[in-house]
Parts: sequence; structure tokens; C-alpha cells
Amino acid sequence: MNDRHAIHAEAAELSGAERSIGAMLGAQALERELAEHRSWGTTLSSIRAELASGCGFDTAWDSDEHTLPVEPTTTDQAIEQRFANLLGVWKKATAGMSIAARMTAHPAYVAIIEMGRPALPLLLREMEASHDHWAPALRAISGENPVRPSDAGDMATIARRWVAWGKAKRII
Amino acid sequence: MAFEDDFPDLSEEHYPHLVRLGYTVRSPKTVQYNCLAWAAGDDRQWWEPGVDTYWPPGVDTNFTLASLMAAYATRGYEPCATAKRERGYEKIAIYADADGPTHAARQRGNGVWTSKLGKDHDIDHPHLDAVQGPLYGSVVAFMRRRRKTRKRTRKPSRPRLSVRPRAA
Repeated sequence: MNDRHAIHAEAAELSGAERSIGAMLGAQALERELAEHRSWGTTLSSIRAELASGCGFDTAWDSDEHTLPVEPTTTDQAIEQRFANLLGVWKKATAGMSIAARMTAHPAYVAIIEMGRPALPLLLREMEASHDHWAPALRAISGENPVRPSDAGDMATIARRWVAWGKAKRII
Repeated sequence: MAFEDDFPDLSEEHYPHLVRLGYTVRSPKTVQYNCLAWAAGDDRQWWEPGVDTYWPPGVDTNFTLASLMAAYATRGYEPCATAKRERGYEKIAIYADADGPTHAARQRGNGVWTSKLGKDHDIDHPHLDAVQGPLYGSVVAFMRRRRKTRKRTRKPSRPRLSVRPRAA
């Protein structure tokens, strides 16, 4: 995690041109990373198991706090770029899929979960816009579940519950 | 509605037979329901075992062909042998690949099949082969139930885009 923060801090100091080149190289790196992910059968199966169980992941924080410790500022642009890249890959790969369990096992989806709490506001905004299958990722990252069992299957309501949760926590 | 939403990206990579066999787009894109729900006549929920998805109570939550058929059985469907249109029955076809069920299509009263393509559109397609391919695998089972006679089946909505079959 420290390494990742150091990289983000360096990225924040780049010039515009350097960032453009970085974005291009980043896309290639992302492809390589996802390819590696595909070969990490053990990691993927463990993440799948966590998703299937409804939660998991080491995302503990003080649940008494009303606002989540989402880290903002200098790394925002790098985080948004990475999220956008992963989102694009995931959307393209899963558009025709009919089984959510397959969509959420996609390496790009898993990589978004691995971004952790900084991805929460981006995920919530995406959820608000698309009503897509982001509840497992939001659960995995936040360790919470604002959705009622009676909402299961109603994608619009599930999205509304998460967005309301995000607003109540002042994440969005 | 956005331009791109009206014109689906039904790639040959995913659906290699679709353009050749022809199809009609019947709905805008939506993530509200999936093909498994649409086959059962439900356009309000996403059917699949899971925390956030609807699955008929009491049905095995291990997602297999057997559990999917059990889910449809709760809606009055029973296994049958063929896709052939039968007077008084509506049918569904279940697709699967090596990892399990992937898709389901429902036969309309006129014999045409209707499919919800993942998070994309509903389409009508005259042939079951139209959506077979790398994404959905192939048809592995058929089920049927008595068509309701009192209530008229909802008419298909106005076509949004029609692609005629290509001449051989």
C-alpha cells in the first residue's frame, strides 16, 4: 500500500505531456497486469469465494465514524484514470454477459476492488449512473451492506440504497 | 436517449451468427433484468443465485443447469424434448458452456425467440442458433408450460432496429 501511495505521489508531480505518455503506458501496463491476474487462479478463486460469501476483505475501519477515511487530494487524478481504464475494460468485456457472478470475477472488477477505499466515490457515482453490478465491490471495500434482503434482484433499488448510503457517509 | 444506446454493439466476436440469421431489437439497454428473468416473463428483477439478485425461494443456490431448471419449474415450466413450436405451450431454451448456464431465450406465440442480451437489449431472433457462440455456448435444454389463455400475452414492443437475415 505504501508503494502504491509513493507511485501516486510521483504521478501527481508529472507535467501534462508526461501524464499523457504515462496514461498510454499505464494502459499497456494495465493490460499486462490483467493478463497476470488471469493466471493467478488461486488469488481469483479466493476473491470469488469472498464475493460469494457477500463480503470479506481486510477493509476494517472504525465503524463508529460517520465519514469514511477516503483519501483525497494529490492522488485523485491517478486513481480516477486507473478506475476509468478498468471500468472501460470491464464494461466492454461483460456487456453481453447474463450472469453477474461471471462479471464480478472478471480481473478488471477484482482490480477495482483492490483499489480499496479511494475507489468508493467513483464506484458510487458509477452505480448511480448505471445501476450496474457494483454492490459486491462496494460491500467488499466498505464491509457494509445497506441493501435489504427484500431488495434482492431490483437493481434500481439496490443502486438507490448504495447511493443513499454514500451520501449519508459523505462519500459523495 | 443516447445515440449509442439505440444502436447496439452486437459484435460478431460474441454473436457470430446473429447478423447472418437476422434479429430485431425490441428494448433499450437495461441492467434491471437479465435473460434468465426475461425468459420467465419477468422484466423487473435480475435472476441468479446471490446476495443482490433474485432467486426463487427454496431452489438450490448452486448455479447449475439442474438448479436453473428447478427455478423455472417454480413458474410452471417442465422439461421437454425440442424447440418445435407446440400449440398451447410457451417454451424456453437454456444455453450453457463448460462452466454452466449462460443464457435463456423464450419462444413467443408466433414461434420467434426473444432474448435479453446481458445488460444490453431485448432482441427477437427467429433462430436459436442466432445467439449461440463463445459468449453463451449452445442450447442444452428446453422447457415448456401451458400458455395462459385468459390474459393476452403482451405484444412485442415496436421494433427499434431490424436486421434481416443475409441471403445465403
